[in-house]
Amino acid sequence: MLTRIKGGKIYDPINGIDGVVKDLYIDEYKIIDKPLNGAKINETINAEGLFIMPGGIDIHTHIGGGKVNIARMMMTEETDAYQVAYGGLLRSGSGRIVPSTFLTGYEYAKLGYTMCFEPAIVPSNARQAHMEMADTPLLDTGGYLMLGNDEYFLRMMATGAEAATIRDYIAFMVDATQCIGVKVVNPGGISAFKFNQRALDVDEPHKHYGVTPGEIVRMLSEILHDIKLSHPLHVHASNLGVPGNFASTINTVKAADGLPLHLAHVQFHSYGTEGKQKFSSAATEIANLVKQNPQISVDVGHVMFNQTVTISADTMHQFANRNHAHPRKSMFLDIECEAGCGVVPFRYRSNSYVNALQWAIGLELFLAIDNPWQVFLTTDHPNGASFTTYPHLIRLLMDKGCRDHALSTINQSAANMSCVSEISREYSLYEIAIITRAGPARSLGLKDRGHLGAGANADVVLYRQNDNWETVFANPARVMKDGRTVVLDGEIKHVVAGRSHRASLEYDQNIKRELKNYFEHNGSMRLSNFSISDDEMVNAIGSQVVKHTWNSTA
Amino acid sequence: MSTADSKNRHEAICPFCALLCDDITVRADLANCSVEANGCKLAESRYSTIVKPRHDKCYLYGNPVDRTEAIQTATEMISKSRALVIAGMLTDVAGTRAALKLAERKSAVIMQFDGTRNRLQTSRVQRSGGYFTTLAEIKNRADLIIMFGRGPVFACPRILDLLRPQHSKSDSSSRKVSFVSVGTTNRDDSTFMGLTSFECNPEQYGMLADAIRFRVQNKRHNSNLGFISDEQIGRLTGMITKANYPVLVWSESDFEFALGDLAIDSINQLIETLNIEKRCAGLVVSGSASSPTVNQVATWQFGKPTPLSFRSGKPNYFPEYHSFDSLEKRHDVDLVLWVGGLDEDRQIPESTADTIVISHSKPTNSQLFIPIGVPGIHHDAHLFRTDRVVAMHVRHIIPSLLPSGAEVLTSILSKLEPDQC
Repeated sequence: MLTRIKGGKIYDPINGIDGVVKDLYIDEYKIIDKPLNGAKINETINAEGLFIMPGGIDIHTHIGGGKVNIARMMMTEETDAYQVAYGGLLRSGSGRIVPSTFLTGYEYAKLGYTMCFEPAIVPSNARQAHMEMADTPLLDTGGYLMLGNDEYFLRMMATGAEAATIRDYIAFMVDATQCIGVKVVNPGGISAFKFNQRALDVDEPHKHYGVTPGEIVRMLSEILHDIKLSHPLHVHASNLGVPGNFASTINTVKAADGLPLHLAHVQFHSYGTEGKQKFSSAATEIANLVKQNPQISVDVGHVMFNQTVTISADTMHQFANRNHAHPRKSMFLDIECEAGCGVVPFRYRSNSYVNALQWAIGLELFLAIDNPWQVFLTTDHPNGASFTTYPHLIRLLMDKGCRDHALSTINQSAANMSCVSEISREYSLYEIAIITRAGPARSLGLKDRGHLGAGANADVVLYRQNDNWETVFANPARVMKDGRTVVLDGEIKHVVAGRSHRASLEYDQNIKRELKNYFEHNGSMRLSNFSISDDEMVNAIGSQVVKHTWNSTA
Repeated sequence: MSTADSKNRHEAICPFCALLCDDITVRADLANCSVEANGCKLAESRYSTIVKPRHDKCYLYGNPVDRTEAIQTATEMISKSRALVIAGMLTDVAGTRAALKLAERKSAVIMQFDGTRNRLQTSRVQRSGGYFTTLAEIKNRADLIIMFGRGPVFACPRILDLLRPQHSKSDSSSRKVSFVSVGTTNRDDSTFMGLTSFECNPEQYGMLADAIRFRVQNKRHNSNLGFISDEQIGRLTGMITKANYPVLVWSESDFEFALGDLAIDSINQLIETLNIEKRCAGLVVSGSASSPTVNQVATWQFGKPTPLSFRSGKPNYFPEYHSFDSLEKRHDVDLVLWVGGLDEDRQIPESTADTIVISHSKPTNSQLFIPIGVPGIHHDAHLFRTDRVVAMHVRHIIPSLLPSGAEVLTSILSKLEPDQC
């Protein structure tokens, strides 16, 4: 089956193509160079007047695992208010803020997204996370394993275990949980909260293990560099949401000592203490940090004004924020000496000084970080807002007029504290293609995703031109997954299953001997029952597995 | 040990309660099955009977039929049904996925058992949330475990053993764990021997939790509760406030009385209050592993747990309205599909409608019976543990020609006419 997409304007930053009109050719599910003369074209799609990008890649979105499911269970206001009926091809479901799995897949596909990465997989909950993602159609998925609060790791750090042993442990854990990356959340802080420590800054020791968040970040980033994971340590830094936390963010980068890091939802970590309210923007300081450290990347975690639910492993700060819950309910878990979980519903209000400034800080970060390859578009779904707000966010970035108007409608004290109105930058389509697909693909080391060159997977999105960028990105003309049209003019035409992407790592098998003892004495299951095999992924969990190896770090 | 002997010995995961103990050793062949190590009364009883009542034949109105005919008949009955109820759901993740798909296609109501369980805790989470913990967390850090009622031990006989710390050479902790039993304990039951106990009725759990909370908050309260002395409340409060990580354990089955939901609220409020100054958490113990399993899958696929009605095409959670009794009273049942597998002593509810039973044991009251294997015994299964965090891949130990529940349901789904989609 040979398909030609004729006459579209291509935006393909990985291949340096910025709005060039050319034909694309797809052989089954892969993009190819121009076929040989005489090859029969089975289908021609007329893309004249349209522009084309690779399928979108969300590098940080909470779409699967225990905490997401708790949020679904808790948010009855939301799941009762929004339900979708069964429609033959399409399964039913409920919820817009944390949609049930089938709806999540459909809604992402309608926005032109074809890959999503769950950023917080608890080791003992990995099976559930993969099962949920297997039930999320139309999306390829992957996950980052949460480490750095697990007691086995902290114990090794505290007792001065050899770096090689820690490296083998990390590699084994990533392998056993079918993950593609590693995330650390409030390094050491989730564990410290279990010992009733209510705050932990970058250089402060964990009261039981004595290690500092800075040491944890340094150790993990070094190991990931060493084992050649493409995506650097994915960091939810210390002191999320705390005024003045920009200093912790800067110190976290310093702790990594020049090694690559990815700072997640950095908007929540860019707060100063200026002004009457003792809450101000430190986006400029963080943008300068990014500029001065080309080895780091960030995703923004932008907030939008609406009801949402915050879900995080950071029990320390989620618990501290429980009194802001709206509706007034919250749920917390201490999990298996590995991590935690806090689910707190929240409503961001445009007339709130703090919320309005959070919104402005997100925009400041997007607009002040010059190099689009270092910043990725996220709302930390659903923590800042649902992923369904992406088209509006893109418009805010591409249209200064829209941005200025929005700024005039928010809390004016917050608007006055922000420099957004002074920034004239408007993102180009090329830059949007970088922050929504090319950048994440490169960071994750996905060689055949995020671009439209020969050999790429044929995840392709065709957009109509329109003066309103929100309309453009909310309604792709056509979305193709694996070379097949899955969405046409906003309607889902085919439902295909996604695949699960994982790292393939090597490690010294001897690590399993010591771990076996630990699991038997301190765990609640045997080591042999902890690991998820490829066979289990395919035949029981329900996802085909794509393995990735990297010879050098990205 | 002979090769055959070693082949028949299995380090197994026990699927018969929601602890999913994975340290048991089972000897199994085609004729017998027994627990050799680390069993409990429940496991010993279930494993010893799991092989014997073999039903490899399907029955239609009491007459044996082959499986192809049985599945065809089931498909026809389901096709004709306009008010299907899928009950029991004593199944694994795969069985749940298939049953939910069938429920959705047939606008059915789907429920665990008879739709009356798991309401109280779900309702609590939906209204207020809570603070919970998991098995390894308790085993490693708890220094006080307070168990309300006999439900947790009744449902999961090894629970106290599993929550005890097992000091290893690498564990320098000198932590001691105190166990407290609140409720009516049977002094002859060895499980409770050596535990500090506070006698009261289930209806009084909430009052006791409130009294402790008021003490913790230094609030005035009526200290004359009648069933427990002020001094005992003070003693229990002292134990809780001195502990670093007290864990409160309960089972919903002990709260099935009028205002049981308020008693659960009181326990949760105590935990919430304690967490302001120190750390504390709860653990809710389920009996069957199918309960957390079915509700996790239903929630991720549809945003709601069971009972779940698809009568309108949309997933609708209204538990009181969609219990089996309630549906029967409204004549909103014309066919019952009972999905068994685990926990086979659950009673199939009486119904005026025809009943299709897909289970391992043949019941007396069904028009059509299709035998299936037991998840985790005859076929591999994914099951969730009582803490609702850990899902285990329970590998089968007995080869069987019996299909899984998921396979039977998937066969039926594949035979439904396209207009049923």
